[in-house]
Amino acid sequence: MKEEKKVRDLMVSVFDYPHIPYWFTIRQAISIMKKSFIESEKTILPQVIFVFNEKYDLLGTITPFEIVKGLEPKMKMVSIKDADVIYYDENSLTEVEASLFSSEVKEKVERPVSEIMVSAKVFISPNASVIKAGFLMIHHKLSVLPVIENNKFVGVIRMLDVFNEISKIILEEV
Amino acid sequence: MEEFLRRDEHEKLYLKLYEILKMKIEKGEWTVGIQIPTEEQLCKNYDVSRATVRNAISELVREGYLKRIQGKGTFVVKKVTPRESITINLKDIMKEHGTFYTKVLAKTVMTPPEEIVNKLELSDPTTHLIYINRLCYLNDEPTIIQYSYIPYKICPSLIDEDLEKNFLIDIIERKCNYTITHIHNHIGISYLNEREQELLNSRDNPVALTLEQFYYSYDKKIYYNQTLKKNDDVKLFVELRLY
Repeated sequence: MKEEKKVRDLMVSVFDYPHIPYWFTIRQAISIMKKSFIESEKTILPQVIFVFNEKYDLLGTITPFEIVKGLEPKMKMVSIKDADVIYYDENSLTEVEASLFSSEVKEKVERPVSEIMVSAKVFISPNASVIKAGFLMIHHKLSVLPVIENNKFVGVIRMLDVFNEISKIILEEV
Repeated sequence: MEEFLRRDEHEKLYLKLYEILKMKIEKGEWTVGIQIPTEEQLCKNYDVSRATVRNAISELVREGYLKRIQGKGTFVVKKVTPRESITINLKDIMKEHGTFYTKVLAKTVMTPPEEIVNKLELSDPTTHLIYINRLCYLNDEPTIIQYSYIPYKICPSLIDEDLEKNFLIDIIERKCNYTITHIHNHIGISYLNEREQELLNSRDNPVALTLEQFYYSYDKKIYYNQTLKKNDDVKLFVELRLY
């Protein structure tokens, strides 16, 4: 039986990811996201931006998901009784498409990213097991988990790497 | 260890070498009376042509710092005036007007906005920068706001340094082994945004004096500093000492 991998062995540097302070606007975040994930030659996965306060403490994360969600106008939802699925009213969707050019969105993109970020509430120690990191990520629906040592943000562990580790164990065990 | 010479602008290579040699005299590495290395040695050390070395030395000879003595070599004959006397350091100026202290409002790491990418001419727009925002008080009155942007790789330990007691330039020179050789200063006027007006207590007078500074180590831009001074009774006095 191989020795179990620790978070420390698999974590990646925080400097692999873009950093922004919480007062940056959504527009600035969009621009940084485009430069980092679309126009860049480096492949950074998953596509996450880390948000910090003025003392360089981690506050939260932003992905393209939060940006799109942050720009969504209030829509008329047509909910169907006894169903889990929510359908959008077709007329309303047309309004949504037009709304990307509206003054409402223009105002929204000037708002600070702190309003749309996902707050960082779950952390892990570098000495914890990779499996524990994996389960924490599942329970909190995270694709990256910040690694904290002595109150300092020292790295991140990614679902990709957790999966890779698990796949090795499963596939090599014959 | 010899300084690295960047070669993207061939025609200016001798000027870069000139700066390096001049710094050696200024920093006292080469004192008055000392014989500097031979042209061959300098060609080797900096991996440049004989013509580049000769041009750089000729410039220093013309300015009176070096002297060529036939059959003997090239000697240092005059000390270079230290750069402090020709640098506009707003904080030094302010000190003459009373008690002065600095508060750090922010010190964090960021991927820069477009404007700063352009200012620092970063080849990679996703370079991480250390961002520092300071508020300086003169006689307990908030007077100056400073924004500084330093590529993280230049000085990673900067993030843990105390910038209320130390000067940024000193930390970068001492802890991160960069020699600041020159500073480009751009002076202008700007309007304070709402946050700045509040910080400086100047709601009724939102115009500020702006000093933009680019700090260089030879031909490399090390960092960018923006200083805003509110429009008050304090007049700035700058003396440029030539000798």
